[in-house]
Amino acid sequence: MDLEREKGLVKQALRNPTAFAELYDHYYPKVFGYALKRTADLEAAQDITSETFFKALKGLWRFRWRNISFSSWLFRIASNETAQYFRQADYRKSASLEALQDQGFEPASPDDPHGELIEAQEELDRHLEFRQVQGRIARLPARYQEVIALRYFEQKQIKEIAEILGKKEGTVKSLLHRAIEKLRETG
Amino acid sequence: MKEEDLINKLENLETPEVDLPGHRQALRAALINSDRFQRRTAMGWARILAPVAAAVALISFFGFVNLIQPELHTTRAMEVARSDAQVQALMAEYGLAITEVRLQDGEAFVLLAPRSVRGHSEDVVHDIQPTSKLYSGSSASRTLNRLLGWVFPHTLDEQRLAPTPEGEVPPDAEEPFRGYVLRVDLAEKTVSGFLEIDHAAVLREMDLTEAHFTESALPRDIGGEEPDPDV
Repeated sequence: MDLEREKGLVKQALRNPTAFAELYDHYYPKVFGYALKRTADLEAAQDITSETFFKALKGLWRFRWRNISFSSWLFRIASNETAQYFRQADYRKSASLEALQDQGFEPASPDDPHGELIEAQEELDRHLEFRQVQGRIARLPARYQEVIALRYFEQKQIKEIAEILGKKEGTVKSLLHRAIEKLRETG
Repeated sequence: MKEEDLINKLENLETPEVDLPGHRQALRAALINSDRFQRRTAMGWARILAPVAAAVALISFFGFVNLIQPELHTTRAMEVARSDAQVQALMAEYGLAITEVRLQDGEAFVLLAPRSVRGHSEDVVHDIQPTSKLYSGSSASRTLNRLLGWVFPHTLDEQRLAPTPEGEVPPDAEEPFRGYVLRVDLAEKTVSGFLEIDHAAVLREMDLTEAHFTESALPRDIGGEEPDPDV
């Protein structure tokens, strides 16, 4: 998405649901993909994604472009939510899809939601090597998990990771280095 | 595994590309239908603002009744007393000043005492100093006194009384004490009664319900005539 367009949309999205929906359509796959690669769990990824977008909507008025890009800001929320997921075994938020459906929001897709979940699970299971590596990463402390996921799964640059995590680039580099060391030790 | 090999493996790792259209669309619908985007109707705003307006009205009412109104009445009572010809004569003749004002049952009582007499209570002395207000001792009231003192500087006594230990008697013991309690009708803006007192006193310690007020001070050496005892 063009940066100027995105800036305009972010500004409009405070009041205009269509503008927010456009941002959502653009970023949903990225946020969901990140949450799924961090957790390797479809249900958790859905909950984290839902919570991320609800928090983004709620906190959009606080967002300032000069400090961080919108993309990094979203990833920061998602990262925090994922960390919370790993901290709490019973992670389930009021904004989870189940809760939304309890409030009357039904999936608009004509597709069978259970069918698409089975299909998604099969796709996840096909990536055996990924699951093995993800399993090893998941045993690391959260700060190592997130730098590895952002760098190697999301292909983010060090500068962008620093922006997402709110750390200096040097700190990110050393975190990444230690994370790789730790990951080697688990192998 | 070497570090380079591990990095290479991570860089080339094939990750799953999963899409859940059902979840995506349900979440989208929930987001764009959220309360944040709902336009509030006049009734909706009314529902939100009604309790706020009620709270503001209550606070304003009690603030006015408990803080502003007594201050205004006190100020008005002092102004009425000062503008009364008899009171002016008393003040000039005996060197009296307004040292205390008390509001009771819709009436105001003003104490005229010699300037040389100092206060008999810390509250009274304190209140005399910054403003004309002698009414209550609460900190909020004192703050308001100061503000009113700035707004209505004309209500300040010309002579400020210095604090002294409680219960101090007039320094000049040879002269007999002369003071007055004035009853001020705030509605009519007149001094409706005079009560002569012959000892230093604090208004709030006096029982004024049984006191016999006369319509005129009629001091022997001011009016030129003796007061009629039957009046």
